[in-house]
Parts: sequence; C-alpha cells; structure tokens
Amino acid sequence: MPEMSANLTALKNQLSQPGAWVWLLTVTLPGGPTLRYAANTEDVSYGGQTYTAFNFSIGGFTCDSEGEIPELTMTVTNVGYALQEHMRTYDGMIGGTISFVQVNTEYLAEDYSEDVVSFAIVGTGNRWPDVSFTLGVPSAARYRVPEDRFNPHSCRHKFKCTRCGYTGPLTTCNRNPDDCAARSMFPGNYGGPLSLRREAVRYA
Amino acid sequence: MAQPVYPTLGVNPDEDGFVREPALDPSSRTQLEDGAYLVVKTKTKIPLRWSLVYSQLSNANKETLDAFWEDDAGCGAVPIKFTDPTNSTTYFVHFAGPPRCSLEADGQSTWRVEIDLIEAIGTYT
Repeated sequence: MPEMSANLTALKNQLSQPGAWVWLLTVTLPGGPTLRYAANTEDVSYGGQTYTAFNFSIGGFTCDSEGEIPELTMTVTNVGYALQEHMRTYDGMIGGTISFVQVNTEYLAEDYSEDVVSFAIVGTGNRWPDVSFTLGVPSAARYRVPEDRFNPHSCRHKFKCTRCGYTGPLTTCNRNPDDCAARSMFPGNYGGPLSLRREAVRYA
Repeated sequence: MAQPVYPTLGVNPDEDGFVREPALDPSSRTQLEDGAYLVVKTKTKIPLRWSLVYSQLSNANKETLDAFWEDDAGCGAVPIKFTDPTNSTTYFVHFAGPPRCSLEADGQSTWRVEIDLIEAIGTYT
C-alpha cells in the first residue's frame, strides 16, 4: 500500500488546513510533449516543473467486481483551444497517459509520488467548449492472444527476404508448401510450422 | 502588449449597487458525523467580481462604454485594466457580459448602465 509521509498524513487529518489542495495533471503524449496543468487560478510549481493554471474537472471513479473495465471521464474546458492542436497531431491523444495528483500548496516540497494515479486515454470527445477524455486501463481485449498465429499452410517469411532465401527469377510466391517446393526452398527455408500439419488446418 | 484601459467617463458608478466580492467559492466541504465540517480550499487565488451601476449616464458616455466593450475589450475576450474607484487599486478584469443599458425616465435622455466585471486569471501589463 502507498504510504503518505508523516507530514502529509498529519496535514490531511487536520480539521483546519492551511493552503489549498490543488489537482495537478500530467498528460504524456505518445511521441509528443508532456503537458502539465493545475486546476487552479495560478500556476503551481511542483517537483521542478511548472503546472499551468487550467480549468478541468475529474469525474468519479468506481471499481467493482462485475468484471467491467473501470473507466472515468475527465472534462477539460477548451475555450482557448489549448488542446486542439495536440488532439489533431496525436490522434485524439488516445494512447497517451494522464496522471493526476492532489497536492497542498503549503507543502509543495513534500513527495506526493505515492498518491499519483495514472490512466490511459482510451477515448476522446470534443464538444465545444469542453473536451472529455475517457480514462481507463488499456483493454486486454485489444491485444491478440496468443501474440502469434501459426498456420502450417502459410509461410511467415517475406518473399525473397533473408529468411526466405530464394534468389531465383520468380517474382511471386503464394507462401504455401507447394510454391516453396517449386522454388527448391522446401522444407529448410519454409516458414510455416510443419509440425502442426495434419488432415485439417490447425491454428495455435 | 499593454491591456486596454477602462475608459474615463468623468463620473463614478453609484455607491448603491456597487459590488466587489469573491467570484467563486473555492472550498470543498465534507460534513462529519459529529456535525462539524471539514473544509479545504481548492484554489490558491480567488478572483473578484464587480457589479457597477451608472445611473443617469449621458448618451455620449453610454456610447463610449458600448464601443469599448465591443472593440477594445473584444466583447469580454480581452482583459482590461480597471481601477476600482473605491480603493484606487488597479485590477485586470474581463467584462462578464455586455453592458445592460436602459433609458432613464427623467426626460433627459440619460441611461442606466449596469456592468459586470470579473478578475482575469493570469499576469498582464
């Protein structure tokens, strides 16, 4: 379990608290810049970085045992079109990572890294003046399992590549064992899993 | 770039109806079981808002304000430099809406003009 520092634990348990608790937002774009915003009326400096004053709100986050992939919606006011260019350039910012943490402005020297919550941007909606991000964990259903597909009747090597090895005059190959044999490369250079070959096609 | 300056009209807004107050409540309140509240602040600087009322404003001054709101202030999009007449302090503000103008029933063709301003976020000169 993450542990807050003693200072922060004492601070959050006080009924009367100095400073303001401000949300800091870090958006890491794939192959792009890192954006830093503070849900505040002034810029906030934390961890050697400046978080620009910006207007955004974060919706509730629920997690249950129904097997659903947890998601939440974050709304950013985009009156100044600050995000527009990034949305266009980086495919709606989908695939980026959004991290947020709430810090106390009187204790900015403390380390809040244990409290940082990170989500992947899995959806983006743009209805002026707001931009809404659907945040969640990367869906396991998006990845092919198993990662590779094995078909004994299809060679996986690109024709005439190093693994294929064919250097003759023919210009095409249907990537099946007969074509490979016709090019005198079967079975040594054939890229299909021959051990899976039976009466019917088998995939693994 | 220097911000536009609120026009000098030669008259101050009425004392009656003049408002300068925080524009938002930045607190987050949680009621505890014993009835007490845990209150935390969520913003470090609270912008102010003003309501100004000019009664019996001349037609020329009314036109000046209308033109300033539309052109220099960009209908509220551009922060303007405003000196509060009650404390002589300068603030950078936005128009929170268009000037509301109604003709006074005094037979002098003067206007009652109401203006709402809100403090601008950011640093300006």
